[in-house]
Parts: sequence; structure tokens; C-alpha cells
Amino acid sequence: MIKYLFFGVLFFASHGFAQANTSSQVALQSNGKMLMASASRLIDASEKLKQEAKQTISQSHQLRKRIQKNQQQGIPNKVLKQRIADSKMLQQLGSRLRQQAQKLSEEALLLLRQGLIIEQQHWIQHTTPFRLNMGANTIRKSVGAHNTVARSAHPKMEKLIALPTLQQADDMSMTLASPPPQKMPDNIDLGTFQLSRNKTYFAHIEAETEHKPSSAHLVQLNTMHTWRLILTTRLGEPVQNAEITFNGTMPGHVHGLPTQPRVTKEKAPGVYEISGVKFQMRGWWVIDLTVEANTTYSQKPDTLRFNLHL
Amino acid sequence: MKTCLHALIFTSVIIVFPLLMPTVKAAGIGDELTTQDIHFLESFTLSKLPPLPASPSNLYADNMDAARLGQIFFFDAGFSKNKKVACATCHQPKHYFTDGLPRGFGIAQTKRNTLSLLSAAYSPWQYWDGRKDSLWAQALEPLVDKKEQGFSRDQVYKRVQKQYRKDYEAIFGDIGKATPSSVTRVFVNVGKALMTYQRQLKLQPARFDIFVEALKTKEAVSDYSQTEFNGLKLFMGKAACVSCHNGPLFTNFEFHNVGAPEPNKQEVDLGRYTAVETLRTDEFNCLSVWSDAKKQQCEEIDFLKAQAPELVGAFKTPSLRNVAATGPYMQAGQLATLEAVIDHYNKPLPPYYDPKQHPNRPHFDVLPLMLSNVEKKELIAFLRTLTSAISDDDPWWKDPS
Repeated sequence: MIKYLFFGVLFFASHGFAQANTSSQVALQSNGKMLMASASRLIDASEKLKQEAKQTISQSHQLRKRIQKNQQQGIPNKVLKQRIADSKMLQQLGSRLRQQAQKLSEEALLLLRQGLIIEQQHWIQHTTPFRLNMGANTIRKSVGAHNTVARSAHPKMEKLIALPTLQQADDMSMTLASPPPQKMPDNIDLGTFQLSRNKTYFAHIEAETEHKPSSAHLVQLNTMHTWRLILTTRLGEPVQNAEITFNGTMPGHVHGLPTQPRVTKEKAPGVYEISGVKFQMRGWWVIDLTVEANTTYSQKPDTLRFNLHL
Repeated sequence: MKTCLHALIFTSVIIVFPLLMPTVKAAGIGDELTTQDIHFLESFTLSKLPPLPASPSNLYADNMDAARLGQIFFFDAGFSKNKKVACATCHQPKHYFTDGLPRGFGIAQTKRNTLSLLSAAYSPWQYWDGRKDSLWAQALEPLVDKKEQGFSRDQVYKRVQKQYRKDYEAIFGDIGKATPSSVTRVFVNVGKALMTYQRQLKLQPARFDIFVEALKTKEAVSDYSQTEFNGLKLFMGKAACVSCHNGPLFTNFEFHNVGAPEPNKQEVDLGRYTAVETLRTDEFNCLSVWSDAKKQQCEEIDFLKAQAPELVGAFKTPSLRNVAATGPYMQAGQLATLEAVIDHYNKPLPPYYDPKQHPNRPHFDVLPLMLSNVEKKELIAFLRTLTSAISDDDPWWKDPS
């Protein structure tokens, strides 16, 4: 049984990779939708691998439980050793499958991104992460709006509230107060192209900047501005007439944006204008867009998550 | 009580200050600051104050005739039920357009502390809770509030018609017959004139501004003391005041719950939480028929955040310009002195929470500072350097009659 599973794994892994390679090669000649369709198949392959990984790891756990019982029952050493080896192998297999699945899904995301850029080149101006415009009048290296780390609590909780942190820039002698640091994961994806949680939609967000397409992807603190959302299914079909809710929070600061942004227009099929975005603070922002739409692909609501580091 | 308080502050300046005054020569203060430090400090000076924000909801916002008429209205106690209360009753020029009282007092005592008008034209929201989105809409409320001027729209119309018709019509056109819509139009235009007047109120550079200018040019002379300079560094650093009090007006104009003592535990003040509802349904907001703005010019109210736990008990960050001369402090004047304010921030207690009255546990925006007694005094010394001179020779600061 174990051997059978092993082959199955190899089949899926190699199948996925073969597709990924071909897809990358044809990227330049093919249209965006073809790329996204290939990516979609990679996502399926990746999901299947993930499932297999889960099953394999669970089999390994079961086997380990059996071994524990066997040890109490006094099963011959040779059999026991074999079973221990099998359980280890299953464990390793599971984690390798998981890695493969991860690789495939990363490859798929790249393809989706490439495909969407080709498909929606008219609307996509910025492909780099959002950055804050540190104009001459912006307070450098400093402070945002406040120091929130906790909601009000019983007075005894006071001890648990941390002190504001201080920071000093290289070219400054003054130390400046800054908001408590947020624990943003190191490897967080700040990309503006994301696949929804249940892999239904693929979307891109960008700030509408006044400048030419070549200008940097900058947003200004404390200034209301407009975003563009390009929303397609993972096959690259524009998603029209979607109900979209916008939620922006700062993890670790227990607060959100000072405004309630919303979709104000669908400029073209699947191209939405989101107005009323305003950031009052530097740092890590998480933007969740909940999408409800009637597509042939899916009717269930799904969430797109974008991480910004301003 | 007001006189007592002022005497107290004055005495403490006389007695405490010389003791704290270091012997270091003033010329050497701030010598260690780098160009970037000075650049940073400059962002807090009045020289960096941007031009007045555009006011699409008030067509007359830059009309000087409207400003002059607004000035007359501002000082005219005839716009009140008892003929004794004008805008200037609570917003007194000699107190930087505040009243020195814990809570405003027109015909009766109000719920909130009187805010200075000297930075109001820059704020997207008016009042402590920001329940008005323009200065003209704000100016209308005291006129008809029973505890303030206690007038009615009809009475406002009649007073303008009787007393100011010619000046009014020169700016706003025909006053019209006393129909409900004409009455409201005149009422609204009185508000717009009052706003236009308030946009003329300017601040003179305070000692802080002069100090930074001296650092910049290395020529101008400043008498800034080491104590004040230490306080400045605390303000920007350890004391973290700068987190909310930033920019040339020392405010971010945002709403925060700083856990100030609840003035009335039987009827808690939900601040911004209640104000957003008032704003949305306000007869005079930017989106209303009385506003001169197009819908797309009303972004702040159009994208108003109407629901969030952090709105509960939150109040607007007040400007710290002239703070030492505009006590008592907090939304209901709960804290009498700057010392009490710093003590509060140094060891803040979480906001009062009553599950029966609050929709959720208030979001708490303040961290303990752990300042020593010396540091507290230094911080207050710095805050005193944000006081501008009373603009005696500025005609806008005077009663024109």
C-alpha cells in the first residue's frame, strides 16, 4: 500500500512540474487567459498533492499509534523495526508532498500574475507593492497616529501594556516615539496580485496615481485616495457586478482605517474603482476584500487578502 | 475659580521656573541637533502651516465682505434669547477664543469644554466629537441651542432682516420673505459668514517657532532654556505626545479614547460613536441641500466610518497651540491643570466601562509614560513655549463695534 502511494505521489509531482515548465516557456507567445488556465490546472494539482500529503501524514500518525500498541503487546523486534521505518518514510513523504504542493502553488501564482498582466494591460499600471510617499512635509521615520496596543482592561492589566518604543534615525540625534512594533511575519507576501482564500478569484489592487504609468506606486498618509481592483476568476474571466466589502486593519493595533472605503464604480468588466481609502498610520496593514458574485465558476463568497507595509 | 486658576498658573511660573532655569547659555541649546533633526522640528512650526483648506461646502469661505459681516455676528449678543450671549462669550479673544471654564456657559452650562477656534479652520471635523463637518454647520448649533444662545431660526432671520439687511444682501442676495426655506437660508448664511470670519484668525509665532527658526538660520536669537529643550525632546520621544499631536497645529484631527475620567457615569459620553450618526443625518452636512459642494467634494462624510469599536468614547485630538493658556482640559474640562493632564498620561487608567451603556469595551489609546517628576516639569515647560502672543493689534481679534 505504501509503495502504491509513493508512485501516486511521484506521478502528481512530475505531472505538475511538466506543466509548469511548458507554461513558463509559452508565456510570451500565449494570451493571458491560456496562462491563467494552465495556472488553474496547477492549482488543482497542488490541491490534490496537498490532500495526498494530508492523508500520508495521517497514515504515518496512525501507524505510530499502532507501533505504540505493538510495543505494549510485545510484537517481534523485526516487524516493529519495519513498521517504525515505514512510519518515518510516510512522514517524510508527506512533508515532501507538501513542499511540492507549495512549489506548484507558487508557480501557479506567478503564472496567474503574468496572465492577468497580459489580459488587463490596459488597466494595470503598477505591479510593485504599495509604498508610502515620504514627501518633504511628511514626518520622517516617525510616528503615526497613536499608541494602541490594547483595549481598555481592568486596572490590574496595566502591567501588561508595553511602553512606546523609541527609534533613532542614523542622521538624527533625537530619539522619536513610534507606535509599538507590529509582529509582521518576515516572509509575508506584500504582492498586489492575490488568489482568494478558496481559490475562486484572482485579483490585483493598485492605487490610482495621478502621474504617468511609469511613476512609483506611492500613497500619501492622511490623504483620501482611490484604488483600482481588477477582479477575475482564476481562469481570467472578469467578474462583473460583484458585491465587494472592504475591510482594512492594522494587526496588533486593534484599529482600522479612519474611513470606510467602498466600490464606487465598475469602470469596465471586472475593473472596479474603490474610493475613500485613507491611511492614518505607517506600518503593516491587512486589507480584506470579501467578494460575492455570480460567476459560472462559483457563487460562494470568497475573501481576497492583501498585505501592505507602508 | 477661573481667576484663581490663572493666578495659580501664574504663581507657579514665577516660583517654579527660575528654580528650573539652568545656567547653560541659551545660544548653546540644541547645538547637537543635526540638519535632519531641525528639518523634523520644522514640520511642527507655523511656517509649515499649509494654506487654508478649500471649503467647497461654503461658496463664501474666502469672501472678505462675508468675513467682516461674520465678525460682527460673532460679537453680537443680540443673536441670543437673553441678549447677553454671543459666540464671543465662550470664544473670547483674550483667552485664545476659549473661556477658561471647565465647560462652556452661555445661557446655562453645556456638556463640553469650549475649544479654541484658532486651529478650527484646518479641522475636517468640528466639536470634540466631530459631529459637524464644517465650521458653518457648527456655527449654527450654538445659535439655537437652549443652553448656549437659545435663539430660533426665525429670530436669526428677523435680526438679520432688521439689523443687517443691506450688508447681508450685498453678499448673499435677496433675503426673501419669511418662508421656512428663506428663513433657513438666512440662518445657513449666517453660519457661512461666521465660518468665513473664523478663517481669518491667525496665530503669531510662539517661542517654539522662534526657537526652531533660530536653529535653522543659526543667526536669530532664541531664549529657549535647557529645561524647555529637554521637554521638547520628551514630547517627540519618550512621552510620545507627538504620536497624536503632530504637524504645525500639534494635532492629527483624529479621534481617540485617552481614558480621561468619565464626567458622568450615569450617562456616559460615547463621543465619536454617537457623533457619526448625528453627522450622517445632519440637516447641514456637506451632502445636504444647504451645502454648496458637489457630492464628490464631500469625501469625508461620503466615506465616513460609521461603525468600529474604536469610535466608542473617542474624542478629537485638540491642538496644543496655546495649550498652557487654554485650560481646563479634556472634553468636559475634567482636568484643571497641565500637571493633572501629564499625571493622567503618565499613569493612565483604562476608560470607564459599563456594559449596560457602552456598545463595546472602549478601545484604549494610551500607554503609561513612566516620566520622572523632573521630566514632567520639563514637558510642561515645553508646552508653555507653544503659547503665541494675544494678537492685540490684529483687527480680526477685536469686537468691530
